[in-house]
Amino acid sequence: MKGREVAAVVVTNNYGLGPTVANHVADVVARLARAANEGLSMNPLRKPSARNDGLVVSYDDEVTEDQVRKIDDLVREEFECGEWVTVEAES
Amino acid sequence: MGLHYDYFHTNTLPRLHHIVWCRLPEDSSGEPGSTVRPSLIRASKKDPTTGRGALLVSYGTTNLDFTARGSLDLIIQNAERLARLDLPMAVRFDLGLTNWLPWASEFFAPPTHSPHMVAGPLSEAERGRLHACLHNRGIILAL
Repeated sequence: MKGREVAAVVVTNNYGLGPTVANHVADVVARLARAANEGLSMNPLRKPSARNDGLVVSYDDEVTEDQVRKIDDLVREEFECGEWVTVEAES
Repeated sequence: MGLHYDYFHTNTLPRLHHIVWCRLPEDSSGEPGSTVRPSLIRASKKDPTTGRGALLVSYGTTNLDFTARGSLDLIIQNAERLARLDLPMAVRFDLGLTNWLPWASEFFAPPTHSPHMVAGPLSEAERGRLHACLHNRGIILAL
């Protein structure tokens, strides 16, 4: 007995479904098995997920005092002009 | 990069003691970094005249160094909390180093595994530990 026929018998015996439904289920099982055997990806069967343009996470290394100082130098001008007011701070 | 950062609206300025995904500038060029790391918001400010916002952050690292830094830095290693914050590894926030960073896309971006730039707020217990660390450092006087 081939795999598809075995699947149909199993579905009929175990779930009490009629031969039409059992054959349909067996067809699906056989197609999935064939795809798996051929090394095909199941991903195309799924809806594509939303695109994520996020960045890779990396925090193994510590940020150093030197890096902090360079960043301060980089953004200093930004805070020298304007009327900055505190929104929240630790107390 | 000068004074022309791509600022987010000040209405989206994250709250105190939330964790955000920070994009550290490249060391040599100052160009926006290609990776993100969790950072703890220590303060925030805004300039209503120009619609700019900024965050004071402490940076996170996976180097916990619990023995030396356990009472000085905030460490989060509870698996449930890490999962809730979408942090892939335990983290220590170095409370001794801070930067004011413009609330702009050059400095903050979501990680690949999440659409959100803000990972979430500290829990009540984490806030308590943070206050103890800040007290130990002499940054705040009262617990």
